[in-house]
Amino acid sequence: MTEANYEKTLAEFGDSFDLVHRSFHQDKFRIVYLNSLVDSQSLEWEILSPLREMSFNHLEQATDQSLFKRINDQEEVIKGILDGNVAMFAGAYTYLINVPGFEERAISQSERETVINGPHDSFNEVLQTNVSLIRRRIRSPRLKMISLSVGDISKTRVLVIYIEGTAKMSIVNQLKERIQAIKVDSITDSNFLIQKLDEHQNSPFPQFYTTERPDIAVSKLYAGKIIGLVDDSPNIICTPSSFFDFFESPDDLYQRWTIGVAVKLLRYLALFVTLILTAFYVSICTYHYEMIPQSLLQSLMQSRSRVPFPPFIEALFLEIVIELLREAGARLPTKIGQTIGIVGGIVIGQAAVQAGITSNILIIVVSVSAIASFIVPSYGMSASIRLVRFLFIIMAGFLGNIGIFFTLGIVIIHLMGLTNFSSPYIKAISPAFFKSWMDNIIIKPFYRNK
Amino acid sequence: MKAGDHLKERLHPFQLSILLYSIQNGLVVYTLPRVTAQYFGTNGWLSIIFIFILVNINILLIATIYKLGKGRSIFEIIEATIPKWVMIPIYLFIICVWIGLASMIMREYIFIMKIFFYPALPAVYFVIFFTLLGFQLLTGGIHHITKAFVVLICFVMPMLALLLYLISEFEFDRFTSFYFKGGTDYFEGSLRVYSAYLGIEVSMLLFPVVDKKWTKSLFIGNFFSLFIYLIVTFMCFGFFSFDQVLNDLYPIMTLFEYTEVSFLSRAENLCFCVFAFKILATTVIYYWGAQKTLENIAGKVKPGLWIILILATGFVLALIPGSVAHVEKWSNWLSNCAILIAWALPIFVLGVLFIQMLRNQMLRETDYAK
Repeated sequence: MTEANYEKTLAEFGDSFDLVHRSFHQDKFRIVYLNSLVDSQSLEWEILSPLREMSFNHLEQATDQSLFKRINDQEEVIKGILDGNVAMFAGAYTYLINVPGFEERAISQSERETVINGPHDSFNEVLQTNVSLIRRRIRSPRLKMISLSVGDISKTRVLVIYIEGTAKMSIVNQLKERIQAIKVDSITDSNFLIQKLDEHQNSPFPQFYTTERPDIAVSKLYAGKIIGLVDDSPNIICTPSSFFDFFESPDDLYQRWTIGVAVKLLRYLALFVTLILTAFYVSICTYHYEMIPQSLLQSLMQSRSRVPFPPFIEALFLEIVIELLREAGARLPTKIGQTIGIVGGIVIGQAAVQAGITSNILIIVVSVSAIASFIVPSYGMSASIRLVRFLFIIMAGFLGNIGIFFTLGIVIIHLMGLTNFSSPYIKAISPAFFKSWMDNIIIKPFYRNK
Repeated sequence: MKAGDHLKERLHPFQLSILLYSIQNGLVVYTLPRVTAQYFGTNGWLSIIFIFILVNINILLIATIYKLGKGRSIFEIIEATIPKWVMIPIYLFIICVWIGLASMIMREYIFIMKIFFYPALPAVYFVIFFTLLGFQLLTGGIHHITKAFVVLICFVMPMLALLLYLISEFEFDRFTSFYFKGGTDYFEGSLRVYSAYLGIEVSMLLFPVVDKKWTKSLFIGNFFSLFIYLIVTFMCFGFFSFDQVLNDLYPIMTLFEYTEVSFLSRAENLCFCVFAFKILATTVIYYWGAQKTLENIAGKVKPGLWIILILATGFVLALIPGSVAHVEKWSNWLSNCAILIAWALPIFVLGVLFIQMLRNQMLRETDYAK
């Protein structure tokens, strides 16, 4: 441990643009801070004015407040200044005065997880604000937080939050240990952290549920789960997560339960449509023409008669175009994004058919499967499903229907082997069978909830 | 739950019931109406019920071993009385039969698939994918296998609903009022029908991983199979005439050819493709049984090595047969051996258990006399 020292502190920061150092009363009190990280008003009221007026007559008494923290270690002083504290050197003593204040994004509606009913606020990038959004929803001292730090250089703060008595302490401790064991220089977002925490890092499926909605975070806490907040990230992580969590939307709970259940089942249907529909088209048109009823066969043949490519190439081409459009739409500013929508609509709509590159029916099939993929509420899961869909298409082109079922087998066997903090990723088939189905897949009627 | 706790978790009876249903040799169902008609004659479907009773007796033997052996694995029971080296030839025979039967079931399925739907594709592609899926499952262990099949079988079961489309063509007149007339060889027929229930004997190796009240799963799983076999065969006898059933190589395949829904016709393809999961279950459980037996013979070798060895053997064996007739011959021969194992092994283990119990009683009596 190095003794905290004014000169050393200044030397450490060098000629930083936002470094401010001042002294008062013939160098009796010296302060150092970064003006980009402190709140100027609090600084004036809490530190500068009392120092100028020399109202720190009883230094011991004044520094006894929770605002002041006496520190001896040089490293802690540096860390404190970087956290938005003012370091005050008063004789032999060094204090950190907590007056943080920096620019933050206002609490706004979540763009990724929109709901029709229910609260509309969402987390932002500031840890303190995010904690306050949770605190004000759970007014209980049982809400506990463990503060950790990740990243050798970034020293990003990570909070593990749980409700004592509801969450399993074994998982809390396990999560804490795993976060502490992470060795990286920096993390910039919670999505980075979860990839470090994943038990199956090469799986395409997201294993930690993330959300930017405080109401979901709180409902997870009440359900006995543990959430993790990362400073500078609006996404909170939730564990243990199951595959079915990714198909939930808070709207399911804010509607009549029957409607909620129907919508949820619709999402599972969408999952299968996304995965299988295009692949099924490829398979039928390549190997199993006999499966098409006679009435449909004529229009399909007419539609395909001008297309010079095999169904596999045709479908792959259109799927890739859709993915290009989606990615372009996601990266471009909203105003240009509209143009992409129009261009894409024309290209993959009428023009591709007229040019004889694809068939009408394939456009319907691909569009339906694209729409179905966006029904999945979690963007991460939706992206995974879209990627896996390509495997289905390739296998359908290669082996037809049996190829689709081989792929389904591979995916399901893979999913059944996944775990999140030692709890199975697909819980519905864990021992208490029917009850788990009710809890995980279908929403219970509200009158049966405690 | 601590890391790895799920590995110690006992299999739930419900999961086991589904697993035990799924591991029974379902491929036979595609020929079952013809086999019953050929060997048992008119209304031959009734033979499925008689054989079911026999299978239940077999299961009862397994359940008795579990009860009397107090949950010890059969290897522990056997090797407490008989030295391991004496048993090795028998173990090797079991391993060979199980791996061989698994490969032949897989290959027969692939042959039928090729004949009907993929005449131009080489069989090796299908064998590769079966082996790949088998590898994925075997490396996960029995818990993984069970959980995966509980989900995979959910895709197979709905195919039964397609039978509803055939009800309009169903007529009771076709059953005729004669029972077991025109049959050929009841014994051979019984063996063929019995082979439809094979697979359940591997449950003898499940003792260390199951719940205490698991034995009911054996009966439930077996009853599930009976229900499916019966409903499909019954439907077939009422849908086709007796002669048609007798002369059709795969009557169930023909049966499903008649299904037509508004957006799909000839669902036999879909049904047969989904059936791959059931074939996979039978294949994998036999491989798993072979793996466990091999592990018992040489416990120090890493399980991964056994898995690769078993799968490689299965892969090569599956590529040997050149025709359906060839594979059927092998399959029949091996399933007869498997039936022998299914009966002889439990009886042998029970015998060993009785000897142990008698010896224990004698020891107790001697102690008491002292």
